[in-house]
Amino acid sequence: MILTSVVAAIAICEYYLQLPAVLTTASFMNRTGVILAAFFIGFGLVNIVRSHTRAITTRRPKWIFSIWLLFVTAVTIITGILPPVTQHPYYQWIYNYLFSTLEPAVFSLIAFFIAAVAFRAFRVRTWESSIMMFFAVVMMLRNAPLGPALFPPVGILGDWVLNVPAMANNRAVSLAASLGIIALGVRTLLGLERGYLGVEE
Amino acid sequence: MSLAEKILRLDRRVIFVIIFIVGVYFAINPIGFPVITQPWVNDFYSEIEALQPGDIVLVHWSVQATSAEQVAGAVPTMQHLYRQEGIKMIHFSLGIQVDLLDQLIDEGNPAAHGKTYGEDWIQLGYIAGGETACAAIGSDIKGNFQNDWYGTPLNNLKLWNEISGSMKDIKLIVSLSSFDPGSDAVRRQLQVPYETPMILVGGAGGLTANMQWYNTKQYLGMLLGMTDNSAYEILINMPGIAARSTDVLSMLYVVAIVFIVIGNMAYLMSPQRRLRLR
Repeated sequence: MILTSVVAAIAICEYYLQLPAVLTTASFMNRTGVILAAFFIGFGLVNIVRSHTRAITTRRPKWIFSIWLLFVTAVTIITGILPPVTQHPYYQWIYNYLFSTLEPAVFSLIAFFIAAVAFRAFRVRTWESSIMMFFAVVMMLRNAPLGPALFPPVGILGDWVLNVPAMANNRAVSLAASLGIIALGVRTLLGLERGYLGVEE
Repeated sequence: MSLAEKILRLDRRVIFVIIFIVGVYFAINPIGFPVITQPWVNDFYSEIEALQPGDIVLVHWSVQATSAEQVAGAVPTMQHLYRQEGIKMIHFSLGIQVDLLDQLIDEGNPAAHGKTYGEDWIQLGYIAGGETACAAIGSDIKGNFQNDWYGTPLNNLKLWNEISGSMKDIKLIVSLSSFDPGSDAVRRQLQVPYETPMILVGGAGGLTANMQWYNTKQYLGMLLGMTDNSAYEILINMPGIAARSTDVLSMLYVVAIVFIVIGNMAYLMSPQRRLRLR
């Protein structure tokens, strides 16, 4: 807890006090944070291997996928560290022809589901849902390149929605989140927030 | 069962098939619908055009394969940067998929624009830690990297020896971001404390959230989503994938709106609606 308070105090001082000693210490701390983050990537890998090995040995539901996950992880790591590291043709093939194509393919399915959900969700059941549907259609038309070109008022109305109600809402959320973070930071600095140490209030 | 009820119970697979057919048709046969250039796209263009020989640009990447299409403006942005005579670029990534961004950098073809690796640009690659990493780069760029992404000691690279490591050297931050930790971390840790000009390439979904930062000049320009990228490609006179894809985007929105209208007409005519009114 003391360590956290000292580190946090130095990080804050770096922003407000441009003293060489503070800047050097803060820079060292930031570099340490980067090294720790890199270490935790390896830690995450260990965690995944442990978790899925346990799933296989205890025959949890869908344990067969755990075998596949461990196999794919092993193949990717082995091909990734073959010299030249991360540039080996096998690794490049996995990345370019499996990963880079499968990942966006799965992601692009969202377009189909959004259209199907829009068909069922946007109904004029109540005044509130009618307003929501109206502005959803306006924003869809505004974001489609064709919309403002064919119906200029859609662009004007869409820009107003973006710059007034949506902006006000976003600023409110940003400010509230910032105040919350400051409050959490102050509580952590004062030792009142101990959840990160595993201490339950 | 009435027609209205049949429409209301339409199998979603029918919608999937129609979306697929419309998407494929307009991808193969683009019409070339007009595209409106938003002010933030013009500002993005102007910021790059204003760069002078010797200016150093810090290029941040938070890009992954899933959302690479969202930052389709990456390649034209790189090409636009390469066209600026004498500028230097330092690339770093907060995401681990550096191979992907290497492909995007190569697609811009730096060599064809006379940009030599080590002299005109450097790839620092992935740095772990998200926001902490940004803070570390802000306090001392040089202290956080010994080798470039390809394993070459940075001291062997001419450009690395020309910079002091201070953010004061950086004339512009270009952030290409489609996931967290991304442009928000860079904005908070590198733009705000050092008041470094920053422009953003991101997804269309970030428009409402990022507008507040554009209005407060924390982002001096933005390219958000396919429509902006399309307008930008036309601005730099290099029509590419975004310009070709906007017809698909337009038509898919139109199909979604048509389905909403049909669904509501069916709902208004349906017996369940009449029962509710009683």
